[in-house]
Amino acid sequence: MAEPVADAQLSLDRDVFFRRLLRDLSGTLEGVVGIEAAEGYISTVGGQVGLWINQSYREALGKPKLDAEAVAAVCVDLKKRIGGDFHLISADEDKMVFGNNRCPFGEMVLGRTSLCMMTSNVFGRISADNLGYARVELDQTIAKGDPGCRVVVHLRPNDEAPPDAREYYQYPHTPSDEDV
Amino acid sequence: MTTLNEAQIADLALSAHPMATLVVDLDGAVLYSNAAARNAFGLTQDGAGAAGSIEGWGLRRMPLPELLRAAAISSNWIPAIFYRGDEAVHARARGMRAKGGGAPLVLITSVADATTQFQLHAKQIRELNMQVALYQKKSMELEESVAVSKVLERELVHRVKNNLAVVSALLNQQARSSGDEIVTDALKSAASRIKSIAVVHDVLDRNQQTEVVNVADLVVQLAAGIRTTLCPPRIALVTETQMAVVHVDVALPLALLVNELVTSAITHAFVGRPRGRILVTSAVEGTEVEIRVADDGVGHPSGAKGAPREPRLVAALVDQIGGSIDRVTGDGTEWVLRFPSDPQRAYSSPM
Repeated sequence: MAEPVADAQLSLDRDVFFRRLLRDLSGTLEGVVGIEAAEGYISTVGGQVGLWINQSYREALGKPKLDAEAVAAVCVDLKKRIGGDFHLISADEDKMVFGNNRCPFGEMVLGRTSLCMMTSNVFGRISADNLGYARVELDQTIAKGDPGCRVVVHLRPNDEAPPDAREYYQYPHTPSDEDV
Repeated sequence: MTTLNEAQIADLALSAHPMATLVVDLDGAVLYSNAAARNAFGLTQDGAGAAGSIEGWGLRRMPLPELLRAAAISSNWIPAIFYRGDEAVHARARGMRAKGGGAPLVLITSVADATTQFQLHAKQIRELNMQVALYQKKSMELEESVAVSKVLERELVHRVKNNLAVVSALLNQQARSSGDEIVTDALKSAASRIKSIAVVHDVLDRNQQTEVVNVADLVVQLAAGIRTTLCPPRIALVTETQMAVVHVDVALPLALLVNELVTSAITHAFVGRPRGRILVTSAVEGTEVEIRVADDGVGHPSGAKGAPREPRLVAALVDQIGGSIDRVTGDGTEWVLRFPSDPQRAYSSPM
């Protein structure tokens, strides 16, 4: 008698399924449209997710705007909630430096650097919308094979920044946004 | 000399760059555009340099303001295809900090689109194929025209040959009935010359050619004609020939030359002799054709200073074909004619 299918030992649940879906989707994007365009698409999604998360924390904390300390705490907390292991290495008026030992995408992120645009855009969006500006540098990433991630969020514009720097500007609210 | 700073150089390069580049605000108003962008988005620049708006453009499933705001909030490039009716511009957009801290702006640049490139190349290939087909059609028409022209030329050669043969026959007939030896000789000479020209056309006609003549055929045919009209039975007219091809413009004076030399030999070389022999040979010597007319007779008349006298017309005809002629005397007389062997050579003033 064969072993019942329901008792089969395999690593498959909803979380693994969606992470696998995202891995294959980002891999397909990178392969079809190229890494740069794939990062563009994922950045668009990351920006929207960042807006949503920022709004959620503001509502939950009852604050219309978060200060720098709260922004750093939110970045660490949101990653913890989705399976990451981020921690604040340092923070001052100019920048916040985060470290990470575990990616929310798990091993599915290996070789999928475009998925790092989620972190860049979510951190950048939350920081820019609350503090006015952010420039995110992904110094080290698990996706490209580093043992951990090191993410620097600069908070002041720098005209000397390279042209391809990942900058985030405050979301331009319109009267219609207030109605939502 | 005008000195440009980096910003001015960048502005010059950008304004002439083939990639569309424009900066818009969040309402789609164009703040900067290069020529390629104005062309791609159909913008008209006013006197103040402003170039209107891209309000008329949109994305398939996202309103333009939503895209502009999504692009404006970061420096990450967002792929976007702008549509307006059947027009499409494949582009990408990113945010830019506005000077003075105002709302961010949106930088849009066009990108190469594989589909558009493919369609462009396919169109170019279609146009090239149409041109090739047109050239093939024209080529076939020209070939047909050349073929018709060849047929007409051959028909002309045939008719000329017949007409010359008729004229020659008439002159011979007139010669026989003139009753005056001088007139008879003159008419026979004229008939012989015309016959030699007719022989050239006969060789052309037999070989279905209009431009080149085989010297061997020409010499044999000339000798045959002379043998039947001018050469008495006591004189043997013999030919030994090698094949050599010459242009018809050379063949005509050459035929007259051979005719003159042979008829001169018949007339003068065997006076007082019961019989004689004339040998006409043709050969190719390197880049030249060599014709020899040799008799075993008594010799030809001399000129005023005792030098051998060339038959009439000979010098002019030799000049015409760019050749040379030598006379060798011994047991009889031998004329050696040499001229360049070039079947492509045509002369501006053929006989």
